[in-house]
Amino acid sequence: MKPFDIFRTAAGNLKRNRLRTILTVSGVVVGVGAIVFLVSLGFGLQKLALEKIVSLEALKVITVTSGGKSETVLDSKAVEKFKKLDNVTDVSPITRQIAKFSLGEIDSEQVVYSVKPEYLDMENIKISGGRTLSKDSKNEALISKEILTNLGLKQEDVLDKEFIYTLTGSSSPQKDKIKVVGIFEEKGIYVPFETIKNSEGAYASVKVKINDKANVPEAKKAVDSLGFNTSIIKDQSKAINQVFYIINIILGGFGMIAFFVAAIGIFNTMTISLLERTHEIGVMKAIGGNSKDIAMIFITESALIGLLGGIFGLTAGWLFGFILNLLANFMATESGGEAVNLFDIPLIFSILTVFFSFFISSVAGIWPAKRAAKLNPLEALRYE
Amino acid sequence: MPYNRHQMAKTPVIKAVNLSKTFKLGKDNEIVALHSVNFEIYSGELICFFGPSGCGKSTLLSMLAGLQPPTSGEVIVRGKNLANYKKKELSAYRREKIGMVFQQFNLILSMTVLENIALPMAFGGMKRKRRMQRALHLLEVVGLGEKKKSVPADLSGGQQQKVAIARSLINNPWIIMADEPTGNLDSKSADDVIKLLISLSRKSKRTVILITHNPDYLQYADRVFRMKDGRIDKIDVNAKTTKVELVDSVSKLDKLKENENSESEEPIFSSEIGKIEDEKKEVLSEGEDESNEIPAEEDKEEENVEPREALSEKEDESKEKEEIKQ
Repeated sequence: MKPFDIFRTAAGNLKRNRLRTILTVSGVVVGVGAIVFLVSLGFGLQKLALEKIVSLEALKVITVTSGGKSETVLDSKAVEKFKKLDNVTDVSPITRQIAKFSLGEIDSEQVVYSVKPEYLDMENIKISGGRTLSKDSKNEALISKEILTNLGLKQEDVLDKEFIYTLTGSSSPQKDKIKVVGIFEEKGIYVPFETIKNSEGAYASVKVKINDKANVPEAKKAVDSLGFNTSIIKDQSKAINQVFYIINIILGGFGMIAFFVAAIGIFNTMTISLLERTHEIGVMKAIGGNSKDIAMIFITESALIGLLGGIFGLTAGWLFGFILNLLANFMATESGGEAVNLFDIPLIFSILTVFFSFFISSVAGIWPAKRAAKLNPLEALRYE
Repeated sequence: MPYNRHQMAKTPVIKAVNLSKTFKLGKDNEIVALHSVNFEIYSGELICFFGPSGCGKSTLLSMLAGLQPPTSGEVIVRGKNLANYKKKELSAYRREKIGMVFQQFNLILSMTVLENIALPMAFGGMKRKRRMQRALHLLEVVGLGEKKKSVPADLSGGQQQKVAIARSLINNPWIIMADEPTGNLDSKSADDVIKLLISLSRKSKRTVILITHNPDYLQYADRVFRMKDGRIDKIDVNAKTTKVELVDSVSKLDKLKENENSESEEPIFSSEIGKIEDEKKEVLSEGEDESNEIPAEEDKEEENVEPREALSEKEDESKEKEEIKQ
């Protein structure tokens, strides 16, 4: 029999028992849908965790602080030294001072970090309102949300408004005006490096950016050997991936239970179908049907159930996740949170799931197919 | 004088040699269904196996059809022992060399009439368009051309049996085997079906083996094998068979073949005509050595295969061209 004729016959048989086919396919849809839904939740949370907890940029940065001795003061000379080290792409010093800010009747003392614009990228500072600092920024400031909350101010109360600040920690108090251009998520106030200079000439810390994550340990050693103190963010991604690997297996395992039940359903359907069609198989054999063709018709039927179930299950699992994500994001944004993707289905995983469903279903059809092929034509003809 | 004619032929189409069948029911309970039966059937003969139920005639037929092996003895069809066929070859034998007609019609209810007729060809790997065409021709031959879109449930018993006969003819087999084909039919339908089978023998020169317990049909047979208790009791030879009004449309069957022969595109059944020609030669060739007959037949079988393959290649090509056009 030609493969297409086998396909046509198998599809015809499935059509003949429409209700049974729909029910069996539904079983597979639930199984595959459960796997897709649960595992895509696992993948989604994993991705989210990696994004939120460890920014890839932050892993390339070494934070250098003074070694405590006179020769290891963090100054412009030290910065030059760091720039000459291997694999260093950027060096960004930070100074830290206390300043008093006044806007109308509000007075408040805050920590001010003088930074270069590239530092904001290194630290992955997220601007939630207004704009970030640029290279040409002067007398501009970014202010954290936390400060606004503490002072009971809203974004529009401070954006594009000018503050008067007074440096309190230094011997010669500097007083000037500064305009707030942006709001960010973290703590403190950032101003351009040139706007507020440390009178003592030393930096609070220096961020050294390395070209690749892999070169960080080596560069750290090099800075250490100069006598400075260094610290790096520990790369947690491995541990996170490991945890989620286990979580995904557990979630997938739950889905597999549903799928296993569905596979039993396919087996059951095919076995009943075999009994129903025993006489028909006898006829087919009597008029010259090959055992192989008859077996292939059965296997094709169960494979088709698996394929249909796989495709619809994938769609159902994805759709369910999508709707749930919409609901979650709706609730999150209502309460001032950030919209995120809780579900993530890698393409290769989708393809594998459908293939897996197809494969297992085919396997479930093997035994009934073999029995059909082995039927004695005469006995099958007598069977009613 | 059919019998005399066949007596002259050297090679029987079917030869049964000491054919026995024993069924074991439980440990010590053996039932002998067939006791060492011997007979020869010649090309173009219409043979009736006649006897009461339980005399072993259905068992005999199922062994001739290769549906079950004999306990001992041999079935030799055109010089080849069925016991030597592999499983796949046996399927091909049932599909292409014989056509089976059953008492219960045994049509597949979920398929249309045309699909039923074409099914053996589908198992043979023939293209759908080709086999449906052939099935439609056969449906016309059995006089049911207008029922092409029906399913078996829409047809009367007699019509279903005619469809079953059309199915048995799809691969242009040597031999038609009909096991009580009228057993489930009213007398009018039964007459129609019997006429159709007789016409296949008389007009289309096929070997027809008819199993029946209806004595009315015996007059039409060239020879009647009277069976009793698993033995062939007696062989009646009808020197002059009763003439019946033959079904004209059966001659379309031969016309169909001739048409297909004349059109070089469709040589599929041309080899079958060669076969029938050979059969005629066999019948006429008195005194020729058997050894000459058998190789000739083998050659013919090879021819049988080649045009089909050539055809399918040709069809593939033409289909490819069509696809390119699209």
